[in-house]
Amino acid sequence: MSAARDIARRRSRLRAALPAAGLLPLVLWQIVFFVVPVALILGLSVWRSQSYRLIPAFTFDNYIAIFARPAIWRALLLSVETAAFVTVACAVLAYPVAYFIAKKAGRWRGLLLVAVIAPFWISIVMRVAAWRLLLGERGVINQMAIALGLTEAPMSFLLYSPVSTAIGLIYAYLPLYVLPLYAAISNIHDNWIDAAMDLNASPTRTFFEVILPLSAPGLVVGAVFCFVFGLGEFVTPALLGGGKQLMFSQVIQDEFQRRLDWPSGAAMAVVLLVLVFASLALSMKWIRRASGETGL
Amino acid sequence: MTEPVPNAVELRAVSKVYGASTAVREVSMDIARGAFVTILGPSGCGKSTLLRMISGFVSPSSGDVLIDGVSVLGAAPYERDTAMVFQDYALFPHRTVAQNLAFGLRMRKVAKDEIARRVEAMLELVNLKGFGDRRVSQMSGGQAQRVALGRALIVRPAVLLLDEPLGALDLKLRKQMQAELKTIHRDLGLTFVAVTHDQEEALTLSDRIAVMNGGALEQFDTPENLYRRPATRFVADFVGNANLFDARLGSDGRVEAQGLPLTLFLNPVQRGGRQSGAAIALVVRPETIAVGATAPESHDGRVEAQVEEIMFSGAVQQIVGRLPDGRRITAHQSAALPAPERGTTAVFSWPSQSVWLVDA
Ligand SMILES: Nc1ncnc2c1ncn2[C@@H]1O[C@H](COP(=O)(O)OP(=O)(O)OP(=O)(O)O)[C@@H](O)[C@H]1O
Ligand SMILES: [Mg+2]
Repeated sequence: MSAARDIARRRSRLRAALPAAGLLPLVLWQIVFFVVPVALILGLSVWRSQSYRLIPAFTFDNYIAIFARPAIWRALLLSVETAAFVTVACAVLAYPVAYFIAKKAGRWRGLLLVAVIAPFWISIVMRVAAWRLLLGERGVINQMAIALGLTEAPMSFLLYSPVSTAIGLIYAYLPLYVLPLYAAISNIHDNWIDAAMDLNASPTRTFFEVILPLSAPGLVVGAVFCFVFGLGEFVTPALLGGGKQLMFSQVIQDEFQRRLDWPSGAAMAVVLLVLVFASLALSMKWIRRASGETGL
Repeated sequence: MTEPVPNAVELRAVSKVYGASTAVREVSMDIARGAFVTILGPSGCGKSTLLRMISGFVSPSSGDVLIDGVSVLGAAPYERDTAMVFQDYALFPHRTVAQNLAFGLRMRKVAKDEIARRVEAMLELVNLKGFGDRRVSQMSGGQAQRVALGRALIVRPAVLLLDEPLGALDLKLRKQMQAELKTIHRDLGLTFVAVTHDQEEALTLSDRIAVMNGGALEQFDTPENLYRRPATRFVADFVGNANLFDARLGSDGRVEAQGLPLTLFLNPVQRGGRQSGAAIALVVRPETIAVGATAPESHDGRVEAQVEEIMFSGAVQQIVGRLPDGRRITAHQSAALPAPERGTTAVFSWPSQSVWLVDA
């Protein structure tokens, strides 16, 4: 009697555990490739380094030291500024594209979405090479500007500067912004738009009263993608940035590889990580508020 | 001297053509101020298209639309004094019930305190007092329906347009909302134009019904006239249940039904100026038919039929008979009267003055 009940209970517990077991690979993956490295970096950041040797310790000196170096402040600021600028620029550029694909493209929708994602399939090195051809002192843009008499000398700030980094990043991240925006805008029923106009809202009012608020989840998700990726971006600034004004990720790499001060580099990485998590947490709050409002 | 009051809506031969198909064909209609008009017709007959031409979301291919006596062809939806209740309600999901109600007033730049006052009054009118701060996603179907109605009513439009407003509700709620809609219409005195494909709803709600078929207006008349004096065979068939018998008009009012041992004499009003020899259809309403072993003296229309089905539905019983040539005849009679036995032959009879004619 009770043995049978025992087996039944054990079975039902097993059945409850089974769906969770499906998550196991994901959990393992996260532990191996996320939790462990982060723990290592955290641990490393409180050690000390003396004549290129690691000395176990528990000290916040590394953190204090990096904030005492103006070059690092500058790099961090440049990274945040660039990421913010790229995010805003992507939002402004992506919105009309996403709106058009979601609401006006009709049967071209699928094709246009593929076209938006297409640059993803091209290796970043090739994309960067293309930008060099376009932006360089003897690049297409400068030659056209000179031919048209817009400038006399080639504009040197176009390539190997924060400007070219930003352009490269905007281009790279645009699909990351279009996709979530597209998803959010497709969820806006045409009837809601019609209802607003029917109640005497002009097209502009309708946009600000109905369409924009209901796009908020897509705007926030896209912003998170762009900002977080932009903050930690390494390849594009390394190849297009010219190396005179470094971004934070480049400084971290420098710390590890050239100065060989691993604890100090780890502390910088932790700072970056904190920034990323802070912006993620903030956006989660926004998304929850935005989706609370849409009742999803 | 009083100026003549312009009609709330006038449609002048409006058509809408989509490529090769015509959604609305030369519809003309005058809708008086304060009227409750329903547009009735089967699915795809152009009802929504007609409504959307009044609200401005669809522009007519030809013809003219007037609101309060002024042509609105050049006016965008947001410039017209109409308000629509959408079939799926189209409530703004990011706004509360009260904010949904306030929307139209805000767009019309009404003062804040007046908005607050009118929203409160509207919540009361549509029976949603205390629900103002709810999210629309938390409202039931019936409640959402009331919010949608209130959101359109609150701006007191020249015309309130309702596209299948009760279509998503279950039967009981539907009946209840029909009654509320009628009360609200009477109390506010606004012009209502509603679309439905439910003929019973059209008959109970409105002062006038526009019956549409295949994009064309078949008849625009009072419910009673539609029922008693349908203009076309389609209307006779679509509005209420009718027994239709093809027949030919003989001289001096004689009618010979095809394939039926039936001869009737009709008066000139019923004949409606038709020439003898015209192909017609007799419209015999089920409730005018008596079923029994013999026919009452006054019933000069009589046919014998085999009783095939008796369906009891509360106050009336529906009796379906099978005529010798296989056609069906349906009678409604009081459930208080004795029903014939299924399978027996009974006489289905009616007085000829209750018959109506339509062109075949
Ligand atoms: N934008 C459009 N493009 C092409 N055809 C259309 C368009 N809108 C409507 N139609 C066609 O016009 C006809 C009338 O459509 P409408 O929506 O007015 O019908 P309805 O009477 O409201 O039908 P229902 O009861 O199903 O809502 C239909 O045949 C429909 O396919
Ligand atoms: Mg419709």
